[in-house]
Amino acid sequence: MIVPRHGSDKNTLPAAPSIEELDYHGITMLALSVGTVSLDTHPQLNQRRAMMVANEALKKQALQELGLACSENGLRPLLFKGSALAYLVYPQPWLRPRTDSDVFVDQAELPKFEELFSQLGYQKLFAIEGDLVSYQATYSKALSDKVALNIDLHWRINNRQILSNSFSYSELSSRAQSIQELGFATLTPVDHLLVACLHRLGHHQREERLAWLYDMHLLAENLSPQEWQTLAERATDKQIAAITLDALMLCQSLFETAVEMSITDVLKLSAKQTEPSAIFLQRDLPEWRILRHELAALENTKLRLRWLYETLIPSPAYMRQQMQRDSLLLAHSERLWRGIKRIFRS
Amino acid sequence: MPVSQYYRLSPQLSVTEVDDEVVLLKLDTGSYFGLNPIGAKFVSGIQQEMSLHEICASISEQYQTPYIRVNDDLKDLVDQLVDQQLIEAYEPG
Repeated sequence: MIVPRHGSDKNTLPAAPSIEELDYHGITMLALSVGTVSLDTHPQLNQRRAMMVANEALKKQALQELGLACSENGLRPLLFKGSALAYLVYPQPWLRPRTDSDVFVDQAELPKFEELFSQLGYQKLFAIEGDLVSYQATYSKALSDKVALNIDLHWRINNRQILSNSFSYSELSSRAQSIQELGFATLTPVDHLLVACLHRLGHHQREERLAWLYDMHLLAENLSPQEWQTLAERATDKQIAAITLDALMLCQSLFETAVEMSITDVLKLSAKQTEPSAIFLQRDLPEWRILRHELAALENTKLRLRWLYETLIPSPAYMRQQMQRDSLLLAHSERLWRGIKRIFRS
Repeated sequence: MPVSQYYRLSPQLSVTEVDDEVVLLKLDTGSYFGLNPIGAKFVSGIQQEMSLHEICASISEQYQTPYIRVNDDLKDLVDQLVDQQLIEAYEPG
């Protein structure tokens, strides 16, 4: 199980990790389950564990209801990332904390999902919207006084333009497997591992959580030789070899993840080609340079202008809600100022 | 509360074992209760349709603890679980 090596690197845990550090990395329950932390020294974790177990049971029931409702309405969302992996590769699902459950859907079926979520009592949460600025929406349903199930509905695999077309719904759906326990379809282990590599750098470029890396470790540990071969070929084909290799090497150094040298050799060779996605390996890249690459990834000038418009001028409702101001002029000015500061600070 | 009383888990209850403990959750309200190893043995006992007396005797023997003490502890637990509607008394058919 989890054996993160200790050291001064920011991605590793100190020899005696605090609960705060474990919480940041999302591995507190995992650490408790394997004895990295003990109830003798942290008795408060017993109550938290009971809460995690109870919350998981509530969410599982809601996910089963949602899976069944989708099936009855002829919809086939793909459950992926944390919630799917919690049931696929972890000994107990409550060992893998997450704030939302991600599903990947066919964009053409978004209106049907919206209607279904409404029927099931989910509310759409406020977020920036547009054709290009975001490819996801969040729906939430209260399950008890303190627990809600948040469903992140994705119609592209990643919000970054560079990565957003790496995998289509139809492609992943054609190879999908099933999570019987939840009644959902999900990605194959190979696709899950590749998508996890995309997610690590594309969605959270400046963050590194051990929970995400441990997901990859568990997925990698269960791949057959044939699946490793497929992974290397697919990463090459999709020009994501460099970021895949980077994630696997980090898993290997942290958890001693077994990766065949023949596979790393293929990935290394492929990574020598210019891959647009490799830009995300530069973790300290200034925000403006990422924006430049994002713009370049769009097909034509019309789309680039549209993306800029949606990014710079969100809807009035979003602006008022997000900036907590009645005056749109003030709201836009404040947002612009924050954006400029963020770009230059990075 | 007669020791020959039988209890069963309430409907809409999720029971999850965690190591040697157990977490009971009322799925319709979200209220939950974490039980220590002794409490977990009580839940296991009622799942096997044992009476309170049989469960007390079993735990007393297993832990080499006086029956009367186990009985007192379990009665307190039963009161709490009944109050929270996690278990209910029944007459075996």
